[in-house]
This record gives sequence, structure tokens and C-alpha cells, in this order.
Amino acid sequence: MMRWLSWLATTLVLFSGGVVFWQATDGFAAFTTETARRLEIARSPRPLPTAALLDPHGSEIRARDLAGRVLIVDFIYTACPAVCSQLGGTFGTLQRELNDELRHDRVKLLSVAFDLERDTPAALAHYRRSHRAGTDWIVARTPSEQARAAWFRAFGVIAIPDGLGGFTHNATLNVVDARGRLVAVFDVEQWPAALELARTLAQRELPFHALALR
Amino acid sequence: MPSPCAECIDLRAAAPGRWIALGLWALLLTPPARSLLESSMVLQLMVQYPALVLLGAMVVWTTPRRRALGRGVDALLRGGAAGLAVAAILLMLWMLPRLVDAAVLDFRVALLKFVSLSASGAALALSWPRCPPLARVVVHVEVIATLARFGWGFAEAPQRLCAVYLFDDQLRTGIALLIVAAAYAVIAAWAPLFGSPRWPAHLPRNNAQVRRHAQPVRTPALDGSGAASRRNTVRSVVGGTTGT
Repeated sequence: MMRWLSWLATTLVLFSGGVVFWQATDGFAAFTTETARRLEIARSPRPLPTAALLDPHGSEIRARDLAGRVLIVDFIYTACPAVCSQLGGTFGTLQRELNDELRHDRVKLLSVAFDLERDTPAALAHYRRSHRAGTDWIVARTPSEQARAAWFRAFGVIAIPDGLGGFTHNATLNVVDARGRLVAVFDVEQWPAALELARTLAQRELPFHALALR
Repeated sequence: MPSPCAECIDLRAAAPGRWIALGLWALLLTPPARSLLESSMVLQLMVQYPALVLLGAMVVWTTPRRRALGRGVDALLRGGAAGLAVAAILLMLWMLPRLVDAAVLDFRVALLKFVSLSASGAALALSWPRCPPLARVVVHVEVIATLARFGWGFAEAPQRLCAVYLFDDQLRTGIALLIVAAAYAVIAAWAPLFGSPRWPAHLPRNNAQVRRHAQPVRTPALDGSGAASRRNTVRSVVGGTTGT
């Protein structure tokens, strides 16, 4: 008596469950938010936010001012004890390795400090000194809640309180191409890959003024 | 055989228990309750999730049954397979780290989570009574395995899986899931292994009792000399059935 009906219903449920799982994990590729973020960025590069950042001298840094250069961006807070100093150390290495590209204004390093309370101009200046940041390594802070949200949203960064007065966040190297689009995300340990990509992009997309200098 | 429609629910009937369940459900959806239970991964997976599933089941349990729901619906729910599949898929879906994050960050996803977790509870409550004993055993084993798989995954992951929860929290959740899996295994295996006081008194408890009860029964009215007729008249008394 209509035994096939329950069989059919179960098959339909399992099939649609498979479709939902496929959709929810980008084809069984992304089970975490971080993987999903990287996949999405790799598939469709994202534009940078328009919100301005402030450097230690109080001057505004906007994404469009940096257009024409390849950027490697990281998110830090200066009170960070471990991960951010690791990020800072890696940026120091990148600064050394990318010496040529930085000198020719083809690549820039950008550290975005997102702790609204403790990332004061003095703290940023101290961070610059302790990591020996050169002129092509910009350290700037998000001046407001809105600016921070805009930068977090554009890069897909999520920062949560770590219970020790600091934050836990996606401590990654984010590569932005010369057209101002976020194109790839790397773990700190993958810095050679980020370096390689930044070099390739800088070669491929030479800015107009750099061509003129040649 | 009892009518399978005995489990069909009548949503029009007045049932105070159902409204209590729905009220508690709405209470869990309020921002204070959410921020409390979603403040840590352990609380969310160990308290909020089971509560939502239980409230969904409560809606089914507290709603009076009625007999006529149509043979089509009965046939659809037969054996409970479809409902159990719905519950399994929804429960596994909301254990994915990506969806745990999304539900914390976005209210629309949270609403979807609340509805679907409770729906899985309702599906379980509707399907379990229809599920044959052997299939129940399979479900128990699969629940234990899934809890252990996710627990192991969370406990052994070298980095954070949920962007909104800390590493320590994830480790604690993994260990808690493994403990729940172990406890579930012990509870599920206890009755079959060591006997249960709820075992129906009229059923045999072991093989010796089965042999003692299953003596051939002869009906004196019939001619019982031939082997063929004896075969026909032998009936087991197990389960209360007697010969014709």
C-alpha cells in the first residue's frame, strides 16, 4: 500500500539535503568561514573600502591614493602580544625582500590598526620604530567604528575579544592588486607565496608613472 | 497492528503545552538569551541546540493526536525514514563551523537556525515512534558516530574553525561532544546488555525462556497424527499469539 511513497520522500529529502550541503559549503570546498572568504576572494576579487585611515601624523590614507601599487595588507592592534608581532616580523621580512619594488613605488605595505582605544598615534609611531618600518610601510589606524566595520567587511576580517584584553582575528597577509582589488589571502607562514604573488602582480601591472620612469 | 495515524497531530486542537513550548522558543530567540547562549561555543552546541530540538519535539508531544490525516500522509511518514533523514541533515548542517559563524553574525541566519533545529526536533518526535527497532539501533549508532566525529574534529583541529569563537572554546566543545558521545553509547547499550526494568513482562528475557515457551501446541479436536498437520498446528506462544 503506497510503500514507494515513503521511499520516494526519503530519497527526495536526502537529495535535497545533498544540494543544501553543496550550496552551504561551496561544493564541499569551504567548511569554515575563513576558507569561504579565501575562495570567494579568489573567485571574485573585492574592491577596497572608501573609508579613510589615519597615519601617526594624522593625515588621511585612502585606498584610491594607493591605487597603481600592489598592496600587502595586514590587520593589527599595537597592544597585541604574540600574533601581531609575528605579523610585524613577517612584514619586516617582506620589507627587506621587496626592497626594489618598494623603492620603485610598485608595492606598498599597509598595516591597519583596528583597536579604537589603544591604537593612538603614539602607539602607532612606537610600532613603526620597533619594527623598523620604512616610508613604504604604512601603519594607519581606523579612526571610527564605521571605518573599522568598512575595512573589516571589505577584507572579511572578524575580530573577537580574546578574554585577555586583546583580540583574536584572522591574522593573514592580504594581497591587493594595482587596480585596488583584494585578490588573495595567505597565512602568515605562507609569506613567500604572498611575496611571489606581489612581485608577479607588480611586474604585470606596472603603474603609468613607473612606466614613464623607465 | 495499531493505526499509524495514532501519531498524526491535530494542529487545530487547543494544547497549552504547545504554547508553552512556542513561548520558550521565542524566549530563546530574544537578544539577551541569544547573547548568553551564543557567548561560548560550548553553551551554544551543548545547551542552545538541544533546547531548540527539544522544544520542537515538545510541540509534537503536547499536541493532541487525531486519527484522520489521510492515508497519503501516513504512507509518506511510514517507517519514519523521511523524518529521520530531515533531522539528520538539519542537525549536521548546523554543526558546520561556517554556519555556526553565520548564525551568530546574521539574525536572518539565526532565525533559519532556530526554525530548522526545532523542525528537526519535531521530525524526530514524529518519526521515532514509527521507526522499526532495528532501524533505531542504526540511528543510535550513527548519532554516536556523528557526535564522536565532530567532537574529534573540534578537539584535534590545529587552528580555529569558527571565526567567532576562541581556540580554547573549540577544544572544550570537542571534548564535551566526545563525552556526550561516550555517555550516549553507554545509555543506549545499557538496556540491551544488562537488562532494563521496563522490559515487557510477557516477553521472554533470554533464549532459555524462548525455548521453554515455544512448546508445540496440539489441538485435540483435529487429527494430530500426520507430520504435515502437526506443522500446521504448532504455534509459538511468544508474544501472546496462540494457535488458530
